[in-house]
This record gives sequence, structure tokens and C-alpha cells, in this order.
Amino acid sequence: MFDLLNVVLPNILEVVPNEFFSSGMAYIGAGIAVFTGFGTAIGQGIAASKAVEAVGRQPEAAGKITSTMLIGQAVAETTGLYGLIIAFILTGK
Amino acid sequence: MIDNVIEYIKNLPTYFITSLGIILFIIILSVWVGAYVAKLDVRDKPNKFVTLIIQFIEFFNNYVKSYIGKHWKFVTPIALTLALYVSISNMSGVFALDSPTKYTTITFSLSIISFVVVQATGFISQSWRHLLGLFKPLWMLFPLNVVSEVTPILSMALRLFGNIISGSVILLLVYELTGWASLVVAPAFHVIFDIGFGLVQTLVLVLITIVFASIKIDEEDLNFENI
Repeated sequence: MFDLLNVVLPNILEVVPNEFFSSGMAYIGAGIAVFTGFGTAIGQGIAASKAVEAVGRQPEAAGKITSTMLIGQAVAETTGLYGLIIAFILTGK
Repeated sequence: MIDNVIEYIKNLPTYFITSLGIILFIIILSVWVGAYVAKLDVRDKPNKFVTLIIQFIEFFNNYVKSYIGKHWKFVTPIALTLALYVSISNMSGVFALDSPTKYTTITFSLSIISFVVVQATGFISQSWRHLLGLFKPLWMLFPLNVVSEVTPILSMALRLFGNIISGSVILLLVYELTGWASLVVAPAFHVIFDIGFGLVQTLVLVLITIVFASIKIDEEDLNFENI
């Protein structure tokens, strides 16, 4: 794989691919993988805003709504955590 | 192969010993409470701690009953055991222990337990007709149904693992960043990441097990009015 990079990269950047280069790229990949938290955060925010609306409309059901919201958010969190686990694997490279 | 096993048993990892300690704690507590409750007379007044535990178990029974219906006696003990074990091991970071749910070995075994509970509930409720559920809408969907039965193992294990490991990594960063000032700063983070997230993840694991089990239940078993 380094052979291919050796042919291609010097035309684009002034770098020499070696093992430090590959670990650096792994860190960049970890940074990109953590970006999955973007969508997760938007989803959790939507769930929280809808729960606030529901409590405002029906204050007597606040406990039930809160627990349902927590469970939904924790399930939605899973996709973000996959990115986090991949980032952990990449930083171990 | 046997040599490998002996070698592994000779130097067990710390999280395994922590896990054994937590199981021992739960066993001692439950045996003590069981002996206390068995000796109680109708006119006796139990002390405050045992009253709390009795109330909690009553609440848990009703909670499972509302989802599972007729076969609640099968699901409740294992669900309660899962809840106790996961909550105590999530919170064990507060006591400076190596919390076992930080490792995929433990979380995968927990999610395999939950998978077995779900399938066994299906077999108890509908006997062999449970297997027909795999062909439900169309027989061509059989492979997809098998995949959707098995993937919760992966997703549940990684959800628990990811939540606890992210909390512990953030705590490590806080300890490194603040140095001696961590005496003041760290307890707040411990409350959020160990106790708060730990309890929420316990709730999620147990609730998802119960909800998945309730999908496998026959319609007639759900409507029973006998408490």
C-alpha cells in the first residue's frame, strides 16, 4: 500500500509516507468518525424539544413522558457510540 | 488448550474479580433480605431498609406484569438480577473499582443473556409456533428476520460498553487536566457519568429486554386480570 502512496502522494503534497504518516492518518480518521455525534445530537435535541412540548400540553403525565424520552434518547445514542468505538479502535493503531 | 485455561485462571484480570465481588454482594444481600422476610409475621413491622426493598420489588413485579402479562414469573427474576448487577457495576467507579461493564467481555455476555431470555419467553408463550414468526409477513423474508433477531446482541452490548467507556475516558481527561484541583472538580463528573448515565443505561438495558420479550408473547396471554 505504501508503494501506491509513494507514487501518488509526492505529486500532491511534500510528504514521505512511513509508519508515522499512517498513524497520523488514523488519528484524522478517528476525528472524522467522532463526527457521527452530529446527527445523534440533532436527534436527541428533537426528542427533548418534543418532550417539553408534551409536558407543556399535559403536565400530569410528566413522569411517563420523561422516562419515555430518556429511553428514546439512549437508543438514538447508539449510532453515535458506534462512531466513538471506531475512533477508539483507530487511536489504538 | 487446557494449559491456556489454567494460565488464564492463574492471573485473572481485575474486572473479573470486581465482577465476582459484585455478584457476591448481591447474593449476600438477597439471602439476608430473603431470610428476614421469611421470618416476618403479619403483625410485624419491617425496618425501613427492608420496606424499601419490598416496595421496589413490588414495583418491579407490576412493571414487568404490565408488559409480559401471564408469564411474568418467568421473566421477573432474571430481569431484576440483570438490573441489580448492571446498576451496581456501572456505579462501582465511584468506589474506585475497575467497573466490569467497561469491557466488552462482560457486556457481550449480558446481551447474550438478554437474547436468550427473549427467545425463551417466545418459546414458553407460543411453544413451537414461535419459530413460525420468522416467516411472518412473507416466507421470503426469512433471512432478514433472522438477522433482525440476532443484531440486538451486538447493538445492546456496544451501547452499554460505549456509554460506560466514554464516561470513564472523560473522567480520565478531567483527572489529567485538573491535577490536584480534581478533588473539587471530579465529584460532579462522577455523579453525572457514573451514577446518572449508569442508571439510565440500566433502565434502557432492562426495558429493552422486557419490550423485546413482550413482542414474542401471544395476544391472549397479555390480557389477564389476576393480581
